[in-house]
Amino acid sequence: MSKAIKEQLEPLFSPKSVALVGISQTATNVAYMFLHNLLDAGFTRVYPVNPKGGELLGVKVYPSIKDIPGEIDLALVTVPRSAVLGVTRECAAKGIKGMVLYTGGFSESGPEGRKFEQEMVKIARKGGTRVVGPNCVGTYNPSARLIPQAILPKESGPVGVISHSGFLFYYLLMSINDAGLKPSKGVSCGSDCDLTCVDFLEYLGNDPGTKIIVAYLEGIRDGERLMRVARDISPRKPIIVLKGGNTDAGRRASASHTGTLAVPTAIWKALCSQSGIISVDSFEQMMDTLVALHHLPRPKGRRVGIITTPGGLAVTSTDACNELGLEIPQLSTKTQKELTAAIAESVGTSVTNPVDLGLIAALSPDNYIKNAIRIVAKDPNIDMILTAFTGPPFDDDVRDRKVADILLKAIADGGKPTVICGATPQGWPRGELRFLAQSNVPVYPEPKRAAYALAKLAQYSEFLRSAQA
Amino acid sequence: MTSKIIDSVLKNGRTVLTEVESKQLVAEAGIPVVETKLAKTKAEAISISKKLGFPVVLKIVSPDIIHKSDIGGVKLGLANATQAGKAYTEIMAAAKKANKKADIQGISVQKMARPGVEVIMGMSKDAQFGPVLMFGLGGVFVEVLKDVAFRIVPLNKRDASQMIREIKGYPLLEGYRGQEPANINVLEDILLKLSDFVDKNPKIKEMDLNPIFAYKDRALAVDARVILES
Repeated sequence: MSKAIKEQLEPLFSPKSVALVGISQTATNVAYMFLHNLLDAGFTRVYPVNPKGGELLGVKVYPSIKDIPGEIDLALVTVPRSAVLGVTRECAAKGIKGMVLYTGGFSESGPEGRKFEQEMVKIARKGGTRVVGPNCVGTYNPSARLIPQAILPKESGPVGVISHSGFLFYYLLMSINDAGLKPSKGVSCGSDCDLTCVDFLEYLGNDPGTKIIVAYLEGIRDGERLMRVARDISPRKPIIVLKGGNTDAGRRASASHTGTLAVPTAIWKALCSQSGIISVDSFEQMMDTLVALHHLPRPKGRRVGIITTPGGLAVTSTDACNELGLEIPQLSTKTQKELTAAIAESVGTSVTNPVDLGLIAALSPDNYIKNAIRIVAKDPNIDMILTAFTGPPFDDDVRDRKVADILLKAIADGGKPTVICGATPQGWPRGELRFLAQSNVPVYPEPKRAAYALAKLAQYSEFLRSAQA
Repeated sequence: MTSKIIDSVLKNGRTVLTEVESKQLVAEAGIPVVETKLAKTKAEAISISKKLGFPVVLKIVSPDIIHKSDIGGVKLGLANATQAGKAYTEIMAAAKKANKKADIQGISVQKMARPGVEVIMGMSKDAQFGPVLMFGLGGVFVEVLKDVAFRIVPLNKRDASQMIREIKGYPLLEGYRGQEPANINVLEDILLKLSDFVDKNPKIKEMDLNPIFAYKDRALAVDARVILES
């Protein structure tokens, strides 16, 4: 990474002090909300700024930025647009390292806004102040207690987050939390007027705490650099991107949202193929892919062994894998022989791929499914396993925990990337699936989602192999 | 990188290269291209034809005539000196009839290439990503089915390899139903040379090799079109 990016962005993610400019004690004032939440999170070096002065939540309010004693790393600016240039001048004069501009109405609102924005960036740069936004909520870093919203995860984990949308930034952080993972650092970067999503990607790509990156992006201002940076990062950590603005109507919406140029679909496809970016089409797919890429080892190829109890899931799982370009090869003679012996008492079975274990297996998965996983995982023709079964029609914590543990051990011993598709007619998840869903084996409620996660896992592994070749 | 052709065209105040100039540029890129020479008289056309070997193709060369075949400016499969001479006279007459004021530089003469699997390669520029290469099968596949693949310059070996295999018509390159297969390694090599060349020559705005005839042991660019940045 260029040393400059690390040096310039570090104070924005781990600020020693934060100014909240444009604060007032009203329910809709974002700076006030941030003050409240930062204090709650244990971040105390905060300096509210309002010409009226006084005190808020027990913290002294400074009439202007220049009145604040000592250095300021980060300023959150929520003043009306008409006051932005003045505040920018003050930030620059104070030598503030970074300015998060919450205020909107710049390049996304037309040529006049664009001119205004260029003027602001010019002023900021003269003082060495970098601008995040406009139209954004800025940086988040739980390990530095920089947690501007009370709902956001407070512990840190492996997932770096970048979003052109402020709302979707919070939504992604919460979804990551719901998926059982934690964010490392994140940024809502708005319209990329100065610092861009590519700068943040480069920063997170070289951040030791970040092991995997998810991003919601709209237009790109510096395509050539995105290509170089993503190509450099992808072999070390996966980058999962949902790109908005892929239809004519979507592009119009994006132009008035971030004001950046949309990327043509053919070029986006080329970019992903060349740089290893894993492109997804929905937030659900983003989380499904994230969980699989985070938890699972990298498969050697795209050949899937499918193990199911209901025949319908065998067929739909096979269809789903096939449609996504995964292969469902014949199992070796040895595997078929061992499977035949292991499911001798069951009826309506098949030991070819997909392996259909029949009804008995659904009633004692700790025996049949466990054995099938152990046997199929040894087959040299198989790179990954998708096992689909129904939970029992009742919940029994002791039994379910025990069954889940037995299956998890078989999957771990098998050593091949394995996902579970757990459909149940009684709601989801039931029985042992409740415990499996909390484990480090990805569980999906639908064959298409399980197959999709495996397809993305295979795609990334292929990129890694070709990048090393 | 400097190119004498690019410099001289720009010096003349033009941005569109003629067929002969475009092909010289393709040759500069290290890409095999059918040898094409400019004849300014009928006698020259005949002597060039004899030197290249029959059958030959004659085409009008004028920056003012874009759609050459529409006005009768292209004659294919000329088998001997008499046919070549007659074609020269006819093309000149047709061109003057089509556009009295056209700046006619002469008539290009080239050996008629043996048909192969037709592929096309092109470069255009994207505002954010710079030069982008396109690859596809020629004719109906690109025009009607839009069966093309794109990659951003610079390409590496893996990009070139995947790009060719990405198009739906790829089986046709492998020799469908006893047809002569295309040499994929040669096509990959041409893509990499094209990528390298446009990367080093930012003055090129658009570059099309259309068609390229692909054979089992080699490939040959049969026509080319280059436009420079103004």
